[in-house]
Amino acid sequence: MTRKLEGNGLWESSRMILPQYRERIVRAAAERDAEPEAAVHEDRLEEIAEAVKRSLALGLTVRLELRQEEGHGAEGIVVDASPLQGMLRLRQESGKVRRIAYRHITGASLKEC
Amino acid sequence: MAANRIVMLVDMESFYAGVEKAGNPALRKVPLAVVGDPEVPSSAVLAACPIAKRYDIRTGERLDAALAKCPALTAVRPRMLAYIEVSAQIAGILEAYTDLVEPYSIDEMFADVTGSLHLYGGDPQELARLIQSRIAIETGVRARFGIGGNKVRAKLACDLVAKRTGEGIFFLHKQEDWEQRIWSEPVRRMWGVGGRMEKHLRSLRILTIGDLARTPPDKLQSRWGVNGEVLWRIANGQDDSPVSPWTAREQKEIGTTITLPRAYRLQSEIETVLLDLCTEIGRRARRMRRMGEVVSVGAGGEGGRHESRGFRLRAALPDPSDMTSELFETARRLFREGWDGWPVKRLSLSLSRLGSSEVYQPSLFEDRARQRAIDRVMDEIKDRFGETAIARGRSFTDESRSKDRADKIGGHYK
Repeated sequence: MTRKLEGNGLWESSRMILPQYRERIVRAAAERDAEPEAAVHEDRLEEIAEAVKRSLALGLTVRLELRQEEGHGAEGIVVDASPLQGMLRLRQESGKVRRIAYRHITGASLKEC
Repeated sequence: MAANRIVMLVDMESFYAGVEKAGNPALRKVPLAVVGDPEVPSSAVLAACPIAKRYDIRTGERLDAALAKCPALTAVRPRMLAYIEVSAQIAGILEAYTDLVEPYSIDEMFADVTGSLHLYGGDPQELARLIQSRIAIETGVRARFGIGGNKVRAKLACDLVAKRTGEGIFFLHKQEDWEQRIWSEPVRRMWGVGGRMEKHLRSLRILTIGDLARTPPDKLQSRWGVNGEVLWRIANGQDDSPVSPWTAREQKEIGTTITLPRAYRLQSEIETVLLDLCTEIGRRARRMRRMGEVVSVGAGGEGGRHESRGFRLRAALPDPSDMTSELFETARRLFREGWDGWPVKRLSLSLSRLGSSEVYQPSLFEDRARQRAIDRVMDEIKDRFGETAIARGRSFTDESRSKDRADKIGGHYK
């Protein structure tokens, strides 16, 4: 109940929005804010592949830098990687496994143990 | 910084009617109403143009009552898609001036110009005039502007003052303005006060917004709880809520509800409708490039002796999905779990725990690639030839509502 008085609660609790309308606005915002795909240098790609491979093989913690829309970064151990499908699975410290697309990765570094 | 915010509430005058007039010059000088279905006398007026309003025609009124007041009234069907497009276009115009734009409804938007105002000369009213003329030129719709130090002040400045001025722009910047222009208004005109609340307030001798503002807040709170405090804050122009643009991340679920034309009793006919809903939700998810992990199904109807029956169940999908066939599989299982034969009048379906759909999990056991291809082809055909251009065989039965739904948005014609 008290949510009405917090944040944007007053306005969110009172409005009626057609879902199709919301989706149209969200889509426009997403298109507008789409980050121009920053090209990742080949050397960097190799670095990423190497770090992912070592994390997978040796169970080392890797820190991945991600594109903005994916929330900048993620840290964990790679538990599965499939360059062909362009995705990997990262077990984060919380135990949660997150799926990440290679094309969202802009950098990777292994954490020193 | 927070002390000197400049927030605008941009309201589109008789929005649906305005869009119709902009698109058809022949309608410009006639009294016009957008009506649910112009063929049906009991159909409701969704919007009346300013000329029609002079005949005292009101939103929500029946078409036959409106025609009695104004026999020359032209009634047209709504075109919801066009309104959504024009509204998005207007949001785009506002976004040229600030990134903080938040639609409040299809015809009202907040824009926080605190950070960008200096780029346009520093005068909020000048900026409002500029945006107003751009909206008029680019969309043909007339916009009104309430400007204030927060969203509540902008909203009330628009509702209570700007809508009545010739220019349609009002900047409420001083506390005296608030007290003079807002407090003198009857409490019924304040945003958030309905007919019933007005009666309750009158019994406490609260007649104007000023009366409400000067009532001790604990008195209102003890009577109406949070809502009492909310009313007091609005009357005093207190509001610290941000103007927060919508983002895909913020959207928690994609959902829909359908009310059936009659009570459906057969499992097969109900499941046909469920498939229609899955088709719709799947398509919407794919358009937004989102996949969901949880499906919820709800049904409502009548049990014996007119008791209402219903359930709402949810389950996680085996893998995040945006695929019609997978949504349907889980939705059907949930439905069969929750339903034991009573007639169904309402069905709802939603997909939640949304994530990006760029990564998907191929499956060893089912042919996901094939199902995705089917969805993709159906989407492409619908994009090119319309929502009814292709459907699953099952949706060509009498009980399917897909044809009817494809023609409508929010229950009104597209």
